[in-house]
Amino acid sequence: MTIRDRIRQAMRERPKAMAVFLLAAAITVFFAVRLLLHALFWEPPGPRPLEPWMTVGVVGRMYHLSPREIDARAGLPQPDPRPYTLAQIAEDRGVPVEDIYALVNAAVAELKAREDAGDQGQGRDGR
Amino acid sequence: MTEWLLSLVPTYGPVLLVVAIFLSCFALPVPASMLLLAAGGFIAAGDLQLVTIAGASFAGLAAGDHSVYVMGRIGGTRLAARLGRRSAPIARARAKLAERGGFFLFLSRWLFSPIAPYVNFAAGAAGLRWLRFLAWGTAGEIVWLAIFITLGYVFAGSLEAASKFAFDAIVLIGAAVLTVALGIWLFGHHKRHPLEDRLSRSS
Repeated sequence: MTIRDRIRQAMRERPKAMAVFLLAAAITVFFAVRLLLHALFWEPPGPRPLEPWMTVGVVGRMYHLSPREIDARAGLPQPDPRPYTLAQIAEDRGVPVEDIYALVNAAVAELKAREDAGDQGQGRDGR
Repeated sequence: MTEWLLSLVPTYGPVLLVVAIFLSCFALPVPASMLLLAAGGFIAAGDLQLVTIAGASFAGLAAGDHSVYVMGRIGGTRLAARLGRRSAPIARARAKLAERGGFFLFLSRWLFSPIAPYVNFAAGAAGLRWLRFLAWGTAGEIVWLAIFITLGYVFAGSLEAASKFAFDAIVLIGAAVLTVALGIWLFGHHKRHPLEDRLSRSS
């Protein structure tokens, strides 16, 4: 039997299964295209505003900086061994979490400036 | 709610995952996959260790799945046997599940994970041999954990993007599997029963 014959036979003898098959095929194609488009056009989101659940590790990854350097520069606790969320640090110190954001952002800015200075060929200073 | 969950993950990571995943095996509404996505993200951030998270998650998952299977074996077998005596199709379904259920069990763990608890129970009730359950179940568990931890790692921090991608990918795979299976069944070359030939020729 040719493929055409088989298709005709299936439509004749098993219409419901054919309907489900066509639906499944359509969904497959639709989601494949969607996934492909998303994959092609998705860019990892740039650094976003700090949130209370974030840890310095998350911040470090966003800015491609060493989290422990950020801790040191901002005067924040190192993981011992469990990492602290920004909200926890704020709670421990009895300050609003925005104060911690300020410390972190300042440290990030300083470290980024140092990185840029290094990139301009002035060599890394030993700090 | 998501924020609160997220904030617990870096602090209680492994313990939280063991408990949450274990509970989710009993069809309790615990967002286990969300927690895995979050954990993956924190692994990318260096806050959690992959080995610890993978180990803890697997332990909770295996313990939960096997517990449900045992519940099915103990509680469900008698019920299923009684139903089987009354109805031949149920007896046949039960026999099929016991013999060939492995692959479906495997798929249900990661492709249709909301029904995994029920499939695990049914497998126990149908008398699927424990070694088969162990093999197919473990394979499914590993795939499920790998998918969500990896996605969480890749989409570190962007939980919404990660879960959308996971949903799309799972629907795609499920639809593709269904399409291929139906296609083979509908158009595949199979031996036709001689009676079928006679009937269709006369119609």
